[in-house]
Amino acid sequence: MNLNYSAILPEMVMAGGAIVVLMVDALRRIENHRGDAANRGSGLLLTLSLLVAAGAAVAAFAVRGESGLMFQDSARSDALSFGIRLIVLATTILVLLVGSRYVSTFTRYPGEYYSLLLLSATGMMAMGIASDLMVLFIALETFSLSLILLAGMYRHNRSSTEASLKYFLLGAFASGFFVYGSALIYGVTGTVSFSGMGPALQVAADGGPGAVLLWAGIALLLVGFGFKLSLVPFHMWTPDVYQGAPTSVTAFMSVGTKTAMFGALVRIFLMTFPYGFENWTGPLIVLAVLTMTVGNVTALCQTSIKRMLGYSGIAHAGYVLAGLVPGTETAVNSALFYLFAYAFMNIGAFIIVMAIEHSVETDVERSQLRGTGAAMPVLAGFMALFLFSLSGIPPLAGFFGKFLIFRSILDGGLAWLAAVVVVNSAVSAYYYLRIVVTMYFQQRPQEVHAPQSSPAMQVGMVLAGVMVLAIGVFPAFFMGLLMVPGL
Amino acid sequence: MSVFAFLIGTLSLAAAIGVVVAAKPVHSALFLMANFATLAILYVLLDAQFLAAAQVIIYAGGIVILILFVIMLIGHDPADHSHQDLTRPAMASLVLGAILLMSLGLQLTGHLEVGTDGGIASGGSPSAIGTELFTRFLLPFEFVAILLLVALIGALIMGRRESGEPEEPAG
Repeated sequence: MNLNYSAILPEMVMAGGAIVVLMVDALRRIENHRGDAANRGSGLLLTLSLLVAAGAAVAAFAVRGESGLMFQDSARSDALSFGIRLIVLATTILVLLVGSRYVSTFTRYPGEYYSLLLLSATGMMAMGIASDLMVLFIALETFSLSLILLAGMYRHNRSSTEASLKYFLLGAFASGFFVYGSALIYGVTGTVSFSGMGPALQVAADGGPGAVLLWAGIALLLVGFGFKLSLVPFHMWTPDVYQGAPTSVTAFMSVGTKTAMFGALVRIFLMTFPYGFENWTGPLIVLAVLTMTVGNVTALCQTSIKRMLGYSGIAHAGYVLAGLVPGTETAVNSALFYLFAYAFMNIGAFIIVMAIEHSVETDVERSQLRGTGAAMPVLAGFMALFLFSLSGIPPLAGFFGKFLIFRSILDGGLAWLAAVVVVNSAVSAYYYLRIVVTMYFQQRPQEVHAPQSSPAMQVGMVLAGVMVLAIGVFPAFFMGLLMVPGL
Repeated sequence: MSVFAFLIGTLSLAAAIGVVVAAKPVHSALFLMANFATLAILYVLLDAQFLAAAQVIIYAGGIVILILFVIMLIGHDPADHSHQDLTRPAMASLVLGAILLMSLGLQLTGHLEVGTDGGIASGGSPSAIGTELFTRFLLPFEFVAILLLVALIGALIMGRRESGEPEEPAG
């Protein structure tokens, strides 16, 4: 028995913290004589949640040295799990920084909101350490279920409820594929733990009796991944859910889900099934090319900023998948670096959307941004920074992310795939920069709503902006931080 | 014993066919319950008491009741008119069913040795499963607690009536 609890300290801090937040919330309600002033004391909950996330980040650094298999081979702590934890925690902190005032515009239950956010992040981090089909599935369900609930927290808004229901139904569908695939893999290999699968996988990959079932199982697993990562053609749910959910939840979902799922994808496809990985590059390339192209082309036609960011999120998943296709150490490192950069630039852009949207509607049309460059120079400046980074303009974070992905693809000898990535980046630059043009070169309409940014939101915005610059200026430092040595 | 198992198996199969061919959704649900119950008896015959109990409580109890609730809430259509041609769900179930048949076929013909690394298959008694849960599968077991916590919070916020929502009539 190997019960190395210290190695899963970050997850324990997050889960424990979520329970503490719930209990403090209950006490707060009693103090407030139930019902009135739902807002009072929610700042305390926010501070507490931020402390929990920061504590988990400290714990992640503290246990960075702990590596290897634990808990009877059901978990593995290594450089990959550290990278996943880091990106998920950075995402959580940025999304928490949106502040209690924004949260109060869509829900009367801030305690539940914060604790679900923390629990969802726990599930995402657990995806990084999972080394067992069971832990993987439970972690997947934990973060998906929390996201479904978070997406539906705007109870008075029809599209939020619709987003929640849609995500629930398609999530259940995806889980079905995932479980069926897992069952077949278990049937062929006789074990659920990734480390024990090696010999049986080798036999099956060499054309043993279970080969057909194994491939069917892996294909079903890949379909499950496709749904969660919103890869084309499994992406139908993404724009509606991204548009309907409260914007802070959309921001969290867009980065967190991708990070957790790509972590698990690397763990399974590159570290566990390396036998015959060449067989999988074909389908993965097709998925990556479709995802990038459909995501970008559809994003071109959107007028809603949230929907546009939703489709562009699909395209970004395509870039990361394309970067992973060579299946090498460089590929994994480039994908992790890209996700790290994406966390800051994407959530940064969403924070601006939240500042500009008015409380009742949870969406911003492109026309609402007209003339913001002159009226709100700071906000527009940051938005431009995030959009430049998303479109991959040097020297910002997004540029280095794309650069590493090009290099990984070229090292893998897939020059034409790199060309597809370049063309897609050019397409995406058009719709990102079009927003900058709208902000700076179009007249502002008469009736204006002042942006509703709270101090916490400004801190989040500046933090994201500084990180986008820092990652761009010192890429080597962050590459070292996220380095996964060997597979 | 084997005659009894054969009889129960036949009943189970008949119930499964009934689920598919029944015209009314309520009948399908009841056939499904019969199928789950006979399956539980088969588990008992195979000496897997825990699995049998779980089958009755979770499937025959929980899931069928849930399905009946859904049928009640949506309002049952007297008969299903939607089987003209192969819809996408039908195609998907055909593919998935083919995979299932293939895996069963490979096992029954002995081409695929199913080895299990735990004591789940050997015995299936509550104590064997409990030991497994607290040793080999400790971490998944602990993570399930977090999943259940999320489900609990979710049930509370989804079920709580917001101020401003109309009061539902009592009873």
